Amino acid sequence: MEKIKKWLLGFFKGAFGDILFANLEREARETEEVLLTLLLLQFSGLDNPFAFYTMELLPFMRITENSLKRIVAKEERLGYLLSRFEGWA
Amino acid sequence: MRLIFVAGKGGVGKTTVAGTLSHLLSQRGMTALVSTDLAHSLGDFFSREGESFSVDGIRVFQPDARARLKERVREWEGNFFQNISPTLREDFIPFFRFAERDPSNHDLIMLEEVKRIFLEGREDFLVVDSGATAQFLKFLYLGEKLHQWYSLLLKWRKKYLRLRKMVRGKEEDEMLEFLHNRREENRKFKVAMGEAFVLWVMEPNLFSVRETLRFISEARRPDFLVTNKARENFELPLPLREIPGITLPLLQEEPLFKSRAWEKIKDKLREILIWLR
Repeated sequence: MEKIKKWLLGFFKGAFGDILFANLEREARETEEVLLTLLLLQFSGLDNPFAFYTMELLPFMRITENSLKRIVAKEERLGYLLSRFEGWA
Repeated sequence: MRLIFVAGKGGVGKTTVAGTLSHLLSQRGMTALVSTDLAHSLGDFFSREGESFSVDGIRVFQPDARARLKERVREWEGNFFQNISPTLREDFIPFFRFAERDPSNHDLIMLEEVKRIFLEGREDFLVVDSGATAQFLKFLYLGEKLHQWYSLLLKWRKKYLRLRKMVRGKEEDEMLEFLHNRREENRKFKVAMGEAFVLWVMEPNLFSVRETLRFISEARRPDFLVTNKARENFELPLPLREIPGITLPLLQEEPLFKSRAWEKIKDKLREILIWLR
């Protein structure tokens, strides 16, 4: 029984492990990018106290061109959606 | 540590009151005095020079906001550019250059200075000779705001670390620790600001009813009023009459610190110590 259980676990890990871990990794990356977005939204502000405090937090973040592209794309999509709903309000 | 704020319009005598009060307080316990005014004049009052010095056991600070801000921003910029690609660096440089010159950041540097001395906790009293009213209001609310802000960031960082742990196992995280510390600092400061003693200094010739009423409505009512350089027939507006206060004698002598005239002010200001208990 134990052997079958072990074999089944190994089978599922081998078959779906990569997908599962890839999903988890993507989720982690997206969560990290939410934090980065929160910081970057404040970073360029004028007369905004949080802009000052983001400067000391940015070194902790991993900022790459790809992550910036993804954030901008998300914001553009959001802007597009909001513009579609403008007339409804 | 007890926080005591001396606020009011420019030129009403905040520095004289703050300096004299800290001198009186130093007889009761260790005292620090900070000027958060950008055009600070504690050095002139005590006839000393430099950003920090001590007089009769009082630690006095009058930080140069511009220099401190530049120093701090350069430090953060250096840390940030260590692990970022050169192409992205160029995008971020203008923001850091702007932050160095942004006047609203001067207030924040001063707030950080007050917070630093408060968190050191070496003294029993910290007297703050504050600048403009808007700056004081910022001080009053920012501890709470920042506490909320760091809580939000912590939530997302923890979420990220939980997911990352599933993939790569447990890792130490510097940012988590940093955010925790910052949140804790701001929580302590928020509590201290709630219990702070606030003195509002006025001068009949410079009296601004609007600014004083704004101070009372937006911040909270001051704990004490000091009418400085007073004329005899000066009458307070109705909402101010309930707040306890004193009138300082009109003095002409210069320089003030440790002069005979100064003793008169000291005698009057002793009344505040009763309220401070």
